[in-house]
Amino acid sequence: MCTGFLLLAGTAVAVKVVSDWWLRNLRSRSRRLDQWALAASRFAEPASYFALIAGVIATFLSMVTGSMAWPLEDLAQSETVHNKILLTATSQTLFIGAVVLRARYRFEIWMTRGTGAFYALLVLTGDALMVLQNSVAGHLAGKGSLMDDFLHTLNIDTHPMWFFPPWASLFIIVAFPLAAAFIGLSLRAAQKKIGRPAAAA
Amino acid sequence: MRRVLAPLAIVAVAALLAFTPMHADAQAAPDISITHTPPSAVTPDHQIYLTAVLANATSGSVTWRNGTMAADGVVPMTNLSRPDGTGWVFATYLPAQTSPTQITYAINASNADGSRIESYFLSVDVASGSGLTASDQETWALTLGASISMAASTIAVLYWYTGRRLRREGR
Repeated sequence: MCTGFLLLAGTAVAVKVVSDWWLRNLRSRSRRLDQWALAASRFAEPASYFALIAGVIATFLSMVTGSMAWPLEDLAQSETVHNKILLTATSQTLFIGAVVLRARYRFEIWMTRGTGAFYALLVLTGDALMVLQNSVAGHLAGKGSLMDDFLHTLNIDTHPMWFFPPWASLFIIVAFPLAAAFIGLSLRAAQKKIGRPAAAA
Repeated sequence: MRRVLAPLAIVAVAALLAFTPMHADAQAAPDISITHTPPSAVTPDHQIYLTAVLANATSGSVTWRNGTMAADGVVPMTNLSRPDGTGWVFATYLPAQTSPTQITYAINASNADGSRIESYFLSVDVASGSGLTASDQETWALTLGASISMAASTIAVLYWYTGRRLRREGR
């Protein structure tokens, strides 16, 4: 259920991106396609938001039921289960972030190309990680995955445990939040600089 | 009058359809079923022994492929003449794999009236001894923390960027 909702969210976001692109770049070329793009754009956005919220809630439920389906020792000892938890946690963080962004900035997030593109990228990255996570789940169930051939071509093996070297993990844990804080403060300073002349006038 | 008769006619037809197949069902051939659990802890350089319980089947075969094969391989299954539940135990060997790989395979059970295919998957990997050590768990926990840190930091930057961009555009 969680996968269905989150894939719907990703599809709706993709539809929104394509229809907005059409309306910005190719409007008036075909009246029928203009109408379709307008309608798709109008319906895809709220559908994606609803599906995102439902998918995030369903994923939390799925985490609980999934953790209860396996004995704790098996969960702790299986390398593949560790990969699944890693992918689920990362994709869920991205989806929660998308919900927060959409809740804070509402429909206006789509009003500029940059913000809409980044928001779409966030949701679609979460979807990509979730699809990979489902492939791992297929292996855990002993059934394999439809993506196996594709993953083989990319040389991705879902069985050995994925990890960064400890020094790299520690660096990322410290450096990324610091970099984010620095960028945030820079953006704030730039905003104040723009706001000051307007206030003086 | 028509409004009353139409629903009655629908109910009558539905009742007829519901009762008619009972006789046909009694004569239908019993379904083929396959009961199989993929083997675990399969290591390289050892043949892979597969067993399955096939019910209402007279023969079985396995179609398989590893990560590098361009076409499927097929091996027949042998009836071990050992009953299990409503079926018989069938078995076969897949060739030993020289290195860790993933194998997708399908068991095909058939009788004179038809056949049934079910797909499975197994991993060939070197034995990992006693599983994950405490050090492995710590490394993984750090990786999890790093992944979430990356994702959350990216979202924070997007949050501030979106706010600034929308304010600049006067939204």
